[in-house]
Amino acid sequence: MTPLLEIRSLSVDYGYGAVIRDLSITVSAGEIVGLVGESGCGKTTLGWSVLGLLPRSARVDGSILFDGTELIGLQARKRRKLLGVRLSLIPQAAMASLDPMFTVGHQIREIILTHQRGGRAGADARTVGRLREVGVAAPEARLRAFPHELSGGTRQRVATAAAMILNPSMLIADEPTSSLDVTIQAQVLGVLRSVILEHGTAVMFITHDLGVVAQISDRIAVMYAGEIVEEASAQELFEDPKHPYTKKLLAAHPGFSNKGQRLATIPGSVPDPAQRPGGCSFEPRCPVAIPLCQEDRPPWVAVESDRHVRCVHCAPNH
Amino acid sequence: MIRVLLHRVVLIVPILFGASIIVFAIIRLVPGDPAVIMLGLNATPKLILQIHQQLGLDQPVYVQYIHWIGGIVHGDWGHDYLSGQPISGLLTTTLPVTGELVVLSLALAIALGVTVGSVAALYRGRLPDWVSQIISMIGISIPDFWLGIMLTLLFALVLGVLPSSGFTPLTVSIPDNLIHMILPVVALASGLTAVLIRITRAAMLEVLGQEYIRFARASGVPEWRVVLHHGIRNAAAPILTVIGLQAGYLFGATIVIETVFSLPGLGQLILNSTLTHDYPVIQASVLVLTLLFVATNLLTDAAVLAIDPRLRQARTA
Repeated sequence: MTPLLEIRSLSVDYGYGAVIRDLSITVSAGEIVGLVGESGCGKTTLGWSVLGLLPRSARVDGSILFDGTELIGLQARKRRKLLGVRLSLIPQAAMASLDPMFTVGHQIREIILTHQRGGRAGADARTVGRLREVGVAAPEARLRAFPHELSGGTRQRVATAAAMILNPSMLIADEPTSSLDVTIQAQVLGVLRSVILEHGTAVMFITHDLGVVAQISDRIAVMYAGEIVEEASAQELFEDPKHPYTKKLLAAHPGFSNKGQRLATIPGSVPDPAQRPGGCSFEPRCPVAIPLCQEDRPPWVAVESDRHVRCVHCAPNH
Repeated sequence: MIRVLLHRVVLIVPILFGASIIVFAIIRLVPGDPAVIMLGLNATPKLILQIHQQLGLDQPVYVQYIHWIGGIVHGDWGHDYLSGQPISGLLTTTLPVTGELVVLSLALAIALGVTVGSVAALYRGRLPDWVSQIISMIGISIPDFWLGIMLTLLFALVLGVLPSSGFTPLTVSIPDNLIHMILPVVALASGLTAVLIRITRAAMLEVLGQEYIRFARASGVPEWRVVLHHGIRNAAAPILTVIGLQAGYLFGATIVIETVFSLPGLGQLILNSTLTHDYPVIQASVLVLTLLFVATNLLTDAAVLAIDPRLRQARTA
């Protein structure tokens, strides 16, 4: 299957060390790829790179191909033709992703009329349909509602509807449910999943929550300090994690660790981009580190055909 | 929203009342006697006493105040000490001059300040930002009267393209009126423009970092629309609030600017009547200036309420 989104050797530097370092990942059409990592590992920067939202000061290397179009260095005018139409963002903060000054109807209509000719009535009819699809109650009345009049869950549904309004072939979902409480989170996630599956939308689902990626992803990439350290199908990753960081991450999650035991923690924190270790980024926190880890960056080892780990312990000659 | 505004309108009454007491008291603390000024070299104790009796200045201050405020409440502004003319006539001739000066200055300051401030925010840390920061620093530092004098020197004396002073009423000739207004308006607007550049820049930087701006950009909304539609609208509340507060300085500065450019407005009336200790004129014109200031604040508050749906609904509920 040809990849819809192909990121190759991407590096992003804000001027104080690489926030993303030589990162490669592909997303095929209709595929849901979960991108997990703790905060500060470069997840959001990765999403912004794809959408062209990086600050001007950021230095970007590598390649991001979306459906054959190189996104790095793409003219703003050409990028705008893609954004919202074929490539959309489901934004991070449910509370802040809608403009408080304008009604729901106004904001979604703006996206439609930016890209397509047509009148207000037609745009509103489509908006109502999409709002209904994502489970917003009384969608006609909601068109005239301001964001502050809606609950967090409804706002996130509205943002989802806005992102999906023109049937994009790919979504970047940046922690779309993290600011919601758990019961609402499950509902919104369920709606998101069914809408995505129905439209066959490819998704890069960025989150710090393993429980969330487990529910929604076909494939999972684990990020650490600006790199992908392990990539596997969802099932493989949870059943048989290879990278020590993935193992630690799973052990630290209440849903996947053994009941009745104290939850494990990972001592230390993600290294600052300015002071990244020379060899393996995870080496300072790794329980199975060996001297070699300090010297060379571990190779990207293909454990199986579509399964990769960046760890010396998985290298064949180890 | 209507209730909030009605409440504010009602509050104007005690504000004006307080202001009237302060003005009334302060000008009487200024050394000097209107009777002595009126009589000049002919002043004798007897004549002074006679004039005091004529003007009611021999009565206790509180009686004088009650007499004066009673007249104001009935729409009687009193009479000019020197000429004996009714003050209402003075106000109707001077108010349009000051009104035009203030309205044009506000319009210029808002147009320039908001535009330059927005550009600065968009180009944060780059050349346009630096230039705008320097301009606003200069604008805040230069006293408006000095700028007025310098502008007159340059444009009236050296280049000879604009009149240095004077005033033509709008009703006589609109182009002539506007040409006379250019220099005073620029001098008066400079300070407020500089402040608005800074406030707009700060407010826009705050707004442009918000998630909904990122979402709009990620939805392919053109940059000009992101800035003009979402950016300015969200930054408008703090900008309007500052305009309301700064309008006070603007009204105060008209006294100096009208004097520098010989504009026959309210500011000059205040200055001249202060020099001659013409109590009723000072009191009336300062009271009118206070009313203008309070009204401007009320208008900007109403605009903030009208713009922001959250405030609009929260306060009516």
